[in-house]
Amino acid sequence: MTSPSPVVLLVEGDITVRHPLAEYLRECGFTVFEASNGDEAKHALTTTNLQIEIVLADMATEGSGFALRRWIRERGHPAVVILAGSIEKAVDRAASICKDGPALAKPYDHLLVLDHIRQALARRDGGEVA
Amino acid sequence: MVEDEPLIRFAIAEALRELGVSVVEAASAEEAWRYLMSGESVDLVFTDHRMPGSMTGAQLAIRIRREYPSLVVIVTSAYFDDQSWSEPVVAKPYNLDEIATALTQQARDRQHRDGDL
Repeated sequence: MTSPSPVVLLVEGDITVRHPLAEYLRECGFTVFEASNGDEAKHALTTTNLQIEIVLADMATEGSGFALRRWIRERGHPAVVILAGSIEKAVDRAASICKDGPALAKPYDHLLVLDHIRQALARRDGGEVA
Repeated sequence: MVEDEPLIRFAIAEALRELGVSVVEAASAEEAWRYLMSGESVDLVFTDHRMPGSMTGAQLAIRIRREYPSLVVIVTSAYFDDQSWSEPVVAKPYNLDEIATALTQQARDRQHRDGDL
């Protein structure tokens, strides 16, 4: 599969964080490949025809972080690897990618993304059912 | 979209997005359930059956039927022998464009039924 827009591989083990972050990056014009752990990220990097340019990886996700960055560098993959140690950092990094990357399709406040993630996490941890 | 194979998940999710559907990608039944429990709005769940983890797609579907009876849930599998799920199962491999179109129609039908559109 080929894509006309730059591709970000987002590695995040928590779906309530990964999904809004991925949607935010899509709003910025990126194609986003979602991985829920390091193994999925490696699978994507080795098998997809997509030209993955940026890897935005949560450091706490299984198989992600420094180990994934080392694995990528050892293979000479050209992707820029950005690590994030917290939800806030991940949102900040996503915002910086948006700022420097494809033109925003529409105004989209990254702080709203962070707020959305926090609300989703609070609802989840409180066991609230839709 | 609940699928443990990331390339299949990505392919069908992108096909659905091209049809104007908002897609949440879950890598396991547990992830899908966690997302539903977070209170986000979902119209349709399309889940693979055999996945790593403690919950199969059919078990997820049964749990959804119990907790969210109005939610459309469709199970797909290359080989299905779970008697606990008696509804039709979409056979794998499926045609990407055909399944994306069918899922889009079902999601929109559900929205129309609920008066969301």
